[in-house]
Amino acid sequence: MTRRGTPPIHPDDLRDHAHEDRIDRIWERIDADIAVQTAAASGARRSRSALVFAVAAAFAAGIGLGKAVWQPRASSQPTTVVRPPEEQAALDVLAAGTHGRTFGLPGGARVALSPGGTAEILRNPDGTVALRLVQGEAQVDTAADAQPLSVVAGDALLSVQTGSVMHVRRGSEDLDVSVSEGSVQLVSPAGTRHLSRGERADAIPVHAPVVASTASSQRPGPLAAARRDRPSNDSVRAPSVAPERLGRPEAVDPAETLQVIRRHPGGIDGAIAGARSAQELMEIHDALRSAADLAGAMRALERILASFPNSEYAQIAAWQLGAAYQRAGNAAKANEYFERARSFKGALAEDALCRQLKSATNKDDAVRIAQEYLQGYPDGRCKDDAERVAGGDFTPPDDDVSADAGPRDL
Amino acid sequence: MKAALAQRRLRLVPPAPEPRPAPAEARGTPLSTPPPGLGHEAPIESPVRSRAITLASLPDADLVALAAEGKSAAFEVLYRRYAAFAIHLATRIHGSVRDVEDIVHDAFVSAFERLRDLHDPSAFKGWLGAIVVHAVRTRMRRAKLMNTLGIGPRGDAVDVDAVASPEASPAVRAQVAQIYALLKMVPTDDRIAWTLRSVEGHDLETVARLTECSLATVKRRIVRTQRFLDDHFVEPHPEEVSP
Repeated sequence: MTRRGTPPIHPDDLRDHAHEDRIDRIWERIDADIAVQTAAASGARRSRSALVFAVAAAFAAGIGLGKAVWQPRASSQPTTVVRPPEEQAALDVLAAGTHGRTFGLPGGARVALSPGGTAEILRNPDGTVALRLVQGEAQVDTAADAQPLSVVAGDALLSVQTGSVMHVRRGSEDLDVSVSEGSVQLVSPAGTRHLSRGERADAIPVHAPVVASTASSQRPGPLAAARRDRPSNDSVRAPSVAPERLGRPEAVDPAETLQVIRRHPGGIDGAIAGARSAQELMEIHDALRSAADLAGAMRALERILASFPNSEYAQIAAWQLGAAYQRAGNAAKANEYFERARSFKGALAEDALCRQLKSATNKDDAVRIAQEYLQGYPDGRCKDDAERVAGGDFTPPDDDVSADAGPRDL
Repeated sequence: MKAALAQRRLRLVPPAPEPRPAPAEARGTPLSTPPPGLGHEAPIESPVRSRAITLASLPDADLVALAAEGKSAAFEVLYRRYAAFAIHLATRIHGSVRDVEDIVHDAFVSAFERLRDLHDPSAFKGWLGAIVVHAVRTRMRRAKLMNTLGIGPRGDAVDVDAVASPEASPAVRAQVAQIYALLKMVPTDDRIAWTLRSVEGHDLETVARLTECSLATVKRRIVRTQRFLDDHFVEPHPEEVSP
């Protein structure tokens, strides 16, 4: 052996442990952690919602309730706007990259993004679009022949009128707006302002302030935001004002949500069609239901089933729709949705089957459902009814409403 | 997850061949200090002619912004972009592959939770590196404490196969094994600084950033470790090295 200086280690002489299978394996754990955190937050919410819905449904089962509140809609209004799931999952993103880029938008407006600027296009069912500024700076130009454009940045909403030019810079916590032509209405957690040519507003907060009762009031990260859904007295969030707020775990106040969706450029149908998650739609449903707009609430539920059939909210959406049609006396539609609710095998499957039993219109169907119920739930809460029907004692429900009746006709 | 990532298509809009001239009366007055690239001379791009692109084509800053908004698909792209970097960093500092998956997992989860704290999104790689280094350091110090208390695993031996490449010559493998064995004898912070400089090849400023300490401290640690290695490293004779 000899002594000498330490030889250098070349990275190529070290083993490469970054194999694809290891990278995939680690990502599965990371992804699961993220999903668990999110599910933990939304799960608690779902449980609460399920309980609330069940209780509400029991109280709301009064005769004629559905008829009384489901007023016919204007004939010109479209029914639920459904986009295929793969389109739902797509995001229209404008990214400037390292060079500034200018984009033309449907409706004639143009947006020029500065280097590093990123924006998403939010599509409304009527073909118009809104712009969500994710980061960076943008100049929005709604020429004389262009439609007005809404720009969302955090909880702030900028309504750019036709013939306006607006420059907006979004920071992590605030935004600066200047208007060089036309006018812009700015709605933010700081209030509402109207900006005309030559006017500007700086350091406008883009997030509703968190009033913390503890010393720690750091802005939370994505996972922490999900955790905020758990009941806590630590903070009180001020009301939000913009569509971007929808779908966030903290946006649970129906009154707040109702205000938000009424400000949506496409109205209630626009908010429903533009919703990007089942949770967001469920919040819209809650808000519309609290405002007695049951037709709108049902359109939100229908879109959950159409666009997010595998979401955690799909079963309760199907069950809610089945119960609503049952109250309205539309046995066929009720049966269809209860069947859908049962397909999820969740907590509401038994209840859906029980309700199918009670809404069955012919004896053969009723007996089949009763036997299925007794087989699946021998000690279920509808056992007595099922045994009675299975024994041949069947009485069809009153059917004074057309089988084709839907929420808009009731 | 790959399927989910594929589903979440992003569409960027390609440049249109001809800029659309805006009506003169609608052209806004340019701002006094328009940011670079915001001028109307830039080509206008039409979403009607949009084409699908992948998230992978977006720069770090865009992906960080999207991930900070809760878009896990964007974060997955960031992960796959820097997973190898993080794994290499962890294994080469740690000198073992035993805990590398835990370290990398913890580092990325921590990064995801703290994305909003990242002031310069384009500096994601360096920021992630600092998180990885911190995670490795925590584990190494914990292991050292447990060893001191006699409750940790006996970790004196160096697993040559875990550290050295199987393609390296027997002599090099022996050198690597000896260096890593010697590194186990120096303080954790010294070892980290030396590894980042001498194995990973980072410049001193980068090492200072990754270890979150001053340049002077980094220099002192590296010099101290190098001196220790030079004093104790023994060159084996070729016949002592088994192939």
